[in-house]
Amino acid sequence: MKILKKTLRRVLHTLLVLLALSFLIFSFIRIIPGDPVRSSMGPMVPEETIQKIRSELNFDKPLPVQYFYWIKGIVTAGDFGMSLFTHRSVGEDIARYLPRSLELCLYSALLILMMGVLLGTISAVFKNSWIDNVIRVFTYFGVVTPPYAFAIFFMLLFSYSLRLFPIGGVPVMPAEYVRTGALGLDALLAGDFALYGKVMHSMFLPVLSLSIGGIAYQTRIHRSAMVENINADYIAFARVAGVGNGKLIFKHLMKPSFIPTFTVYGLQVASLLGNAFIIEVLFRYQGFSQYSLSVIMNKDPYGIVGVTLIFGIIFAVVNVLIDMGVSVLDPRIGLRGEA
Amino acid sequence: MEMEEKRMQNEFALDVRNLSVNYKIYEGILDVIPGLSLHVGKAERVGLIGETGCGKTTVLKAVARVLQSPPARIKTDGIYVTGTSIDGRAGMKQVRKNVSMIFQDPSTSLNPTLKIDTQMMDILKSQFPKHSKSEYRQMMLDSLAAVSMPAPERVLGSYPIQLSGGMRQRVCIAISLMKDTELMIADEPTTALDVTIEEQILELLDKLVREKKKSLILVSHALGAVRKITDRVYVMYAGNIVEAGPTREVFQNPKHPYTIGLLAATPRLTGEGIADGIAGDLPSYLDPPEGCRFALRCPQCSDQCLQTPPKLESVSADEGSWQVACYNAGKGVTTCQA
Amino acid sequence: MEMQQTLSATTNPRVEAFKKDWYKFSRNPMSLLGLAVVILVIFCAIFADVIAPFPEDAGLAVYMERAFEGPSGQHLAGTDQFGRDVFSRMLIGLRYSLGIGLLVLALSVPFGVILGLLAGYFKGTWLDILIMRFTEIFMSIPPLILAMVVCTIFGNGYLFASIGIAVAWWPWYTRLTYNMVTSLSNELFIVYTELSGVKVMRIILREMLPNITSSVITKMSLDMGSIIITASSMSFVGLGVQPPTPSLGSMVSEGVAYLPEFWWLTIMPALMVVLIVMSFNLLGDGLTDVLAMEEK
Repeated sequence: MKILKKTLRRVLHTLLVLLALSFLIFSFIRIIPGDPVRSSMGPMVPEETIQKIRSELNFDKPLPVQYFYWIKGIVTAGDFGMSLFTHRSVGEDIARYLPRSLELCLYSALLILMMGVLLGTISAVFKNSWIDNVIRVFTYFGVVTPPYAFAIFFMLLFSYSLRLFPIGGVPVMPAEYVRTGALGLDALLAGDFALYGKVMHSMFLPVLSLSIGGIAYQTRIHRSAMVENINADYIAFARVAGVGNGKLIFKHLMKPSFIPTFTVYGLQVASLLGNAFIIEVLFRYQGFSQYSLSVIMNKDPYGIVGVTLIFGIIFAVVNVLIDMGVSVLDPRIGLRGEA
Repeated sequence: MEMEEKRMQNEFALDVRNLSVNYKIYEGILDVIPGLSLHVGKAERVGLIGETGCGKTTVLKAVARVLQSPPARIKTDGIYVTGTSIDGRAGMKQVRKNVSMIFQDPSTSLNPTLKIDTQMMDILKSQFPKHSKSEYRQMMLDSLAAVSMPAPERVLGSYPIQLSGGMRQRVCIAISLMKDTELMIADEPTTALDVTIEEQILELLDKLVREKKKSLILVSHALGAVRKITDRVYVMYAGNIVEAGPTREVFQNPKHPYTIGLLAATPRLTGEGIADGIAGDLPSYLDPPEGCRFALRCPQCSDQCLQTPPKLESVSADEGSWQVACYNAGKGVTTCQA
Repeated sequence: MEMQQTLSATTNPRVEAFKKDWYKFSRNPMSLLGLAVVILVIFCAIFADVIAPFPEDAGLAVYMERAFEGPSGQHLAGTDQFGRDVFSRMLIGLRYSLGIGLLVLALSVPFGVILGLLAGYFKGTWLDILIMRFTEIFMSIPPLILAMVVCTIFGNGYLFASIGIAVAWWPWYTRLTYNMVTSLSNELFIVYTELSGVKVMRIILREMLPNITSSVITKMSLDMGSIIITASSMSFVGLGVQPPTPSLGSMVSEGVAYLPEFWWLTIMPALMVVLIVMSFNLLGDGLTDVLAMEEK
C-alpha cells in the first residue's frame, strides 16, 4: 500500500514536471523571431495557404489556448501535432524513429554496465598494479574524449584501415519485416538471423563509440566505490572473520559498491539518447536523435516540443527504474521508515 | 630468558615483536608507534588500556592484518599468532584461521547490504566447508544462542539496520566465536553502546572466552571490566607500553605515574567523588618529546626523563612479569595524586 | 617596517593554509601537469593571434595552391581544403572554446549558486519549493538537448550557444549548493550565529558562501571540460560560432567529408579538444583530492 502510494505520487510529480517542461518549451518557441510556417513553406506559397495552415496548427491562437489544444490532442488521440519539417504527424515520426534509437541505446547501456563493472572491479582488486594503471589511463582518455572523436577514430581504424566494419548506414529492411521499427528486433521477429547478424555488424561501431565514454566513467565510479569500501570496517571484520577472498570481493564488497555505481549508471543511461545524435549523424543511422536534431535545427515547433517531451519521459522512466534498483540494493532506503 | 623459551615452544597465542607504525603527512612523519612488543599467553586474558588516541586500535589492526597500508608504514621484527608469522600470503591465512576480532562500532562492522544469515553463512562456508544448508543454519542458531540473542530466527533474516546496537554487537561476537580460533581480539567492544548494555556484553564476552579457553586481548575504557576480566594488563601511552604486569597488582599498586593518573581518573561510584584527571594532552606524534613521551605531563619528571626514553624494566621479584618504563617508578611518590 | 611585513607574511594563517593545500595538490604529479597545461592553454588562447603562424587563415581565405598539405614543419597540423593553416585555425578555435566555457560558467554559476543558497537556507518554505521545482524542470531533459533547443530558438552564434548551455547548466549548481547548505544549516556554528541575531543575508554571504566555495570551484574546473565537449558537439552540427570563424567542433565535422585521406583535418582539432578537456579534468581531480583530504 505504502509503495503504491509512493509510486503514484512519484508518477504524478513526474507528469507535472513534464507538463511544466513542455509549456516552457512552448513559450520559448512562440518567441522565435519570424514565422515558422512561412519559413518552412518557402516564399512562393500564397499568404492564404499560410494563414490556413497557421490556423490548422493553432498558431493564430493565444499561447495558453494553443497549449491546451496540444495537450488535448495528445491525451485524446495521441496526436503530437504536425511537423512543419517532415509534413507528417510528429507522433508518427517518433514512432518510426524512436525504436531503432532505443535499440542502439539499449546495447550501449548493456555494454556500459558490463564493461564498467568488469574494468572497475579489476582495477580496484589489482589496485596500483600495471593493469590498474592501464585501465586508469584508459578511463582518463575515455572521460575527456568527445564521442564524435571516438567515432572518427574507430572509423579510421576499423572501417578505412582494417575494413572490418561498414563506414556507416544500416542494412535495408524488407518492408514486410518492419513491425517495431527497431532494426535488430525486427530481424529477430522475422526469424532472419543472417540479417540480424548484419544489423549487429553495422551497429557495432556506433554502439562502441556511444558507449566508450560511459564505460570509462562507470569504471572510475565503480573502482572508487570499491576502493572506498575496501577500507570499511565491515570488510575488515568479514576478512578477519574468515570470509574467503573471492566471496569477499564479489559479494561483500561488490554489493555495497553497486549503490553509487548504479546511481551514476542511471545518469549515464538517461543521457545516452541525447549523446547519440552525433553518432547517428556520423554513421548515418537515421534514428530518433538524428530526427530530433533535424527538427531542432529547422525550428519545427511541434517537432521540438514532441521530442523534448520524449526525452523528458525517457529521463523520468530511467530515473524511476534506477531508484527502484538502488532501493533493492540498499536495504537502508526501504527499511528506514520501519526501524 | 624465560620469555625466549616460551617463544621457542610456541606457548604464546600472540607475540608481537618490536612493531612500529608511522604515517607520512604534509607536516612530516607521524611516529604513532615507535616500537612496541607484547605477547598473550595461551588461554590468557590480557587488557590493553590507555587514553583515546594512544595507538591501541592501530596495534590491534596491525595484528589482524587490517591496518590500511599505505598510508600506514608498518615495520616489525615479526608478529606471530600461535607461533606462526602473519607475514605475507600464508600469514593472511593464519590470521583468517586463528584470529577473531570484534570492532569498536557494531553499526559499521556488519555489511549494510547483506542479511545477517548471508554474512554468517559466508563465514561458515569458508571455515567449515562441505556441510548441508540445515547444518549451517543450526550452527548459526547455536552461535546466536550462545550470545543469548532473543529471537534468533528473526535476527537471521534481518539486515543490520533493523537491529539495535547491542544486538549488532552480539551478532559480531557470535560471528567471531563461530570459528574455532585461539586468539580473540576485542577492540573497545562496548564504546559505542549504552552503559547498561556495556556490562552485559562484557560479561558475555568474559563468560564465552573462559568457557572456550581462548586467549583474549581486550581494549576497553571500562577499567572496572578490564580489572575483572583480564589476568594481565598493558598500559599504553602515546604509542609506547609504559607498564605491563598482572592486572590485580597493577590496579592495586600502579608504579608508572601515567598508570597512577589513569586509574585515578576513573570515577569510582563508591569513591570519594570526582577523581582527578591528568593535566595536559597526548603529545603530538609529529614531533614527539625526545625523552619519555609522558615527561611533560608527569608529576615526577626529572632531567633524565627529558633526554632519553626509559625502557621497560622489571620491578617484580620474578623476572619480567611486571615491567615499568620509568626512571622514577615506585620511588615512593605514588601519593602524588592524594 | 618592511622586514616586519615579510615576517608577518610568512606566518599568515592564510598563506600557511595555501601552502598546505599546495603541498597536497602538488603531491600528485598529474594534477601539476593538468595545471601546467591549463595555464599553457589559457596563454595560447589569449595570444592566439600572436602565436598563430597564419592568423589571417582564421577567416575566409583561399590558397588553392597549398590545399590539403599534410602536417609539416611549416604547417604543423597541415592545411585544409582552402589551403588554410589548420594549426592557426585550431588556436583561434581554442580561444572560442575557452571563451564559451568561461562565459557559460560566468552565467550559470552565480545564478545557480544564489538560487541554491536561497532555497537551501529557506528550506521547507514556499521559496524552497518554488526554486527547487523550477530547477527540476530544467533538469528533466539531457542538458545537450536543452542547450540545442535554446540555442536554435533564440538565434545562432557564439553568444546564444553560451546562453543555451548556461540554461542547461545552472540547475546542477543549484542542486550542489542546495545540498551543501541544507547540511550546513544543521551545523552548530550556523545555529549559534542564527541565535545571536545576525541578519539573514549576512549568514548566507559570510558564513555559508565561504564554506561552499571550494566545492563549487572544483566542480567548475571539472565542468569546464564537459562544457567544452558540449559546445564542440553543438558546433559540430552547426550551432554556435559560425563559419568562416573556426571552432574546434565545426573543424572536425567539416573534416569528416575528407576522411580518410586528409585525416589531419579531423584528428588534429579533435586531439585539441581532448587536450583541453583532459587538462581541466586533471586540475579538477587535483582540487578534489585537496578537498577530500581537508575533510579528514
